[in-house]
Amino acid sequence: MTASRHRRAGMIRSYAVTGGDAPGTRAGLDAATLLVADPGRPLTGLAAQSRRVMDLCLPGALSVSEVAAHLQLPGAIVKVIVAGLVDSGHLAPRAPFVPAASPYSADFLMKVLKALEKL
Amino acid sequence: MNGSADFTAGVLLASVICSVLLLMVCIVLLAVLLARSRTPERRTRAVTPPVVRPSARTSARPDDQEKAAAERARAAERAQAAEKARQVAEQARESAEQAREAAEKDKEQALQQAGANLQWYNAAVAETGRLVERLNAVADAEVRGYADVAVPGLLHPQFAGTPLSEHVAGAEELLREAVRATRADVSGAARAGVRGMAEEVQMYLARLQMSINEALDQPPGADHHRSLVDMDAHATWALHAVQRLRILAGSWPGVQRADCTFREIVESARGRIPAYDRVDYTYVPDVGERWVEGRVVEPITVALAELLANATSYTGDRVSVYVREVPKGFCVVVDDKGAGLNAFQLAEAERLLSRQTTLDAANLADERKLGFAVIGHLAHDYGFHVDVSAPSPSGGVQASCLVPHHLMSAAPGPAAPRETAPPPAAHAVNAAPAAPAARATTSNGLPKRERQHAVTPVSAQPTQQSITDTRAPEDVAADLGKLSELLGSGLATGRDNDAEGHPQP
Repeated sequence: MTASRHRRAGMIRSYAVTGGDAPGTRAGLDAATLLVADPGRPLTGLAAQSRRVMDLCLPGALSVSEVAAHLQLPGAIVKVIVAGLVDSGHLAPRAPFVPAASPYSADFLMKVLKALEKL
Repeated sequence: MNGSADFTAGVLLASVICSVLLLMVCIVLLAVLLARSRTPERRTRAVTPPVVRPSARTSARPDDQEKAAAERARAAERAQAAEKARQVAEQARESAEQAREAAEKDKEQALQQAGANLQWYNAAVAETGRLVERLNAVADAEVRGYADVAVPGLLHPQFAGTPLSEHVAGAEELLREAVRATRADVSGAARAGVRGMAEEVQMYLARLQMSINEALDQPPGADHHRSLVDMDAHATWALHAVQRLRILAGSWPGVQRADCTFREIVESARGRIPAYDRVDYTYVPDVGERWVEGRVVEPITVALAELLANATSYTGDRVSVYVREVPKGFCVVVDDKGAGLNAFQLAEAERLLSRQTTLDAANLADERKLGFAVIGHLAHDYGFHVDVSAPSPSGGVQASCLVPHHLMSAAPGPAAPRETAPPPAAHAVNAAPAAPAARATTSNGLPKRERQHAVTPVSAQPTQQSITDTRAPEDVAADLGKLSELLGSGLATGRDNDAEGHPQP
């Protein structure tokens, strides 16, 4: 497994994937951002990796880092691809961990913080 | 053959000379006979006056005396004439004898000459045979570079200084000159090719250094990333140039890949040319996710990169690439909108594509030919076919690389549920996590890597649903506490399971 991964590594260069676009620091896009695909958008004409991102996200929602894991691409490169799809309206970014009903209490956040500090 | 002809000619000559001499002898004999027949006439004429004179004279005594004297004189005359005739006959006989001897001698000489000619002829044939040996020795010494090769001299020393020896030396010199000229030509072309490629590699590596310098000056950020991308690109191009060189020198591409899909091949090939941003890849998941056998992945990628380099270098326009299924296999088609190839360029390209060309004088003239030579070499070695003869619909060249079925590979993992299994269903908001076996295969064959066995179980857990407020925060905190314990124990053994396969951005 590792051997075959190793042998595939380096096959695709990141600049070829992004078409030379440098990854910008796009506001609201980080590794945890959830991506929701718009099923109404046509998939034809998309670049290969954009198409794959859409295929991954269409059934539901996926975070940027998960997409990166599936595509086996660096996170920064995936961000460029995702940013392009967000611009074209194919994907809608959604901030992660948003409580649907009520906001987190300060108490809960403190607990989380303490738990994290123990890590 | 010639000698015997000469001999016959000599014999003929001798017989002709003999017959001429016989004729001369006959003429001489005839002359003698004529002279003999004429003498009695003279005698009668000489006799007549005394016959007249006695009739004029009266006294008988003096007449008798005179008669006797005349008789004696006549006898003497006759004797003289006879003597003369005998001498003439003798002379004629002698001259006939001489002529015969001369003819004999001529015949002898002609025979000798014919023998000598035959000897010379045989010697010349042997000398020609020796010439072949000499040329062979020259070839051994000059072309094959064998040490201790002695070039033999003339077989027959008597030829020294004759035109024959000059010609032989001329032939030998001609061979040496041809060897010299060919060697200079080939080494010049090879040098030019190696020089060109070395310059290319050097240029890319120099730019790589510049990018590294830039990156070192910058704080981490977007520009920093930009520099990294530049470095990556320059390193990749330099790598490709070196790879091309070694392929032209008769080696294999030097990299063994695992099975890859056409998408990976096209994107990899695109990254290997400087004008990668002008290449449009029309991705169709059906064919784009077909797997190519690992053995031919790198050769096909290099060949495709060469086709793309050609296409982009001859047009400033965009170049389109797509993969198409054909009865014999799959075609990677590169379409450019350039000027196209003229008949001569096409013939040259097909010549280079159709055979296994290595670094030689014929194919290193320019970059474009170099690319075709690389492709021809790879196609010959690995069994795929490249064709550039079809005109592109847009007027340029349509190059196609046919990958036959036997170079394709089955999709790794179970192939049957590939079509029916749900897409990465584990990540669907409302769907239950799919079984790991089903998760390994996808509808479009997209995330089909072994690596995901490690990734998916983890990424499947923190869906939006599980983290939202459907659970009590206390439970979450308790879970986090457990997690921290687990991680604490994990940290003791090693940090590997921290990310659990998540790529680091």
